Amino acid sequence: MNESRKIADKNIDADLKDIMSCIKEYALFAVNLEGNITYFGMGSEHLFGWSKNEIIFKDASLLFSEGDSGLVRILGEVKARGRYEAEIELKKSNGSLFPVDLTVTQLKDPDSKLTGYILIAKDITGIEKPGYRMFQAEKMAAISLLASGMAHEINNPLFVISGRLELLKDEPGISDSVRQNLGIIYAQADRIRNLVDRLLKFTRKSIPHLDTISINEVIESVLPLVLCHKLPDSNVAMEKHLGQNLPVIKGDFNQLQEVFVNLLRNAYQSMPQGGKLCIYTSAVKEKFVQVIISDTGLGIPANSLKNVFLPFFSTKKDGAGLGLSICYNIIINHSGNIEIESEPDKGTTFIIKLPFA
Amino acid sequence: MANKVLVVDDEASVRELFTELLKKEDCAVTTLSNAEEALDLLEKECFDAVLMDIKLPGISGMEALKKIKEKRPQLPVIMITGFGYDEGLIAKCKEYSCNGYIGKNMPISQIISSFKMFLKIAKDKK
Repeated sequence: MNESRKIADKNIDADLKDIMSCIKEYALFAVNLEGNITYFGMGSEHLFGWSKNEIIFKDASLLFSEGDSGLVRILGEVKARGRYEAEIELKKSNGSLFPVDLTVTQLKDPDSKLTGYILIAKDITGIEKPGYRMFQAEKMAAISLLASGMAHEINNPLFVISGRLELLKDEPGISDSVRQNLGIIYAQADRIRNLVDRLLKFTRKSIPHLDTISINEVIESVLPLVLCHKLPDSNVAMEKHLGQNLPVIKGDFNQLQEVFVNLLRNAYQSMPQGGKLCIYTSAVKEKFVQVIISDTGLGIPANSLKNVFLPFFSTKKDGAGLGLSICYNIIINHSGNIEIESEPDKGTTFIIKLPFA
Repeated sequence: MANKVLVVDDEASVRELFTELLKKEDCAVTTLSNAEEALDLLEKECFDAVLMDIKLPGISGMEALKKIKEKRPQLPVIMITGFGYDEGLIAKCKEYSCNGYIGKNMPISQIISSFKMFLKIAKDKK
């Protein structure tokens, strides 16, 4: 890049900083690669309650509710995937927490070398999104009802087909070739039966057997199960950041194991060329235990993202499309919440929140 | 002696299949397509067991189970359903004192062996 272009870019940067520093509704700040604050706009001063002089060059983890691990995780994701967007909580100078829509992007020098990160936080205190969540819940309930009715209607004729085959099998004088064909029909009927069973599993209001459990123990218990499905030559690095002394939750250990096996297996399968799988647990809003599972895999296109929790929807070639819908149901039955963020070729993040016991 | 079994299911093909399968198990089978007729028949005739579908037109299998058990707590009633293993339904059936619960999605051999087992347990209790 020539010198005059560099100077022009620098002037634009300075102008932009002046403009951004006037915006009070958004907190705009920047950090260097070490996570120290290098820019703190007027909106940041307004939202966080810190003055620029107090906080400049200090560790930005001061602003994060999860402390250092929250900031490290977010910057790690931005470094790997280019961008991070989420609804999280940040910390004011008086220690109180407030919800924000946070966007973090890479800050690069004119030679495209990563020099730091830009963070933009929009205060969303008092802004809820009940309409969307209710729509999703109603949609899932309607699908669940439809699927349950369908499964019932399929099971009746399937029962008759299987029963008749069973009776035919014992008929005398059946030739070997007819017997062979009956075997094939029986096997195919069995295949339908298995599929319907999975569909019923999705629709079923399975009563969780609630115990007081530790989410970290659930996660630790599924890792060996998931790792044995990992391809021997796959080059996936796993990082675990399990929060210490997390409050316990009321949960069904087996059902939650099923959720994390599904999510972790999906993550491995999305990284056939290798990548990074991260698992984080933390406490948020003094109400929830949060589990974040992120991968740097194939990701999911934006137009498919809203459908991933629907039954029979799969972005995988050989997927039945029931795994995530079962996960969704289990988490909802635990009075929790599951959300997904994804970008093609960059990766996918699942955020699960489960209430404290 | 053959067990007298009353099968209640609204689908003719299911009734016919149960008739053949249970005959092979030395049962004398009577079939009906709805719960109203079943409740009437139970007033007039004695059976060793009732195999009742849960989803029936009119009076549901669940309501029929409740009514049967109120009058004849000793009569074994085994519920059968296309909804498969559903903990909510099972809990409701238990609440109304059913003697067994069978999903139509189970393999046929398992359906028959479960029916025989539930019937034996119910009879042993008497």
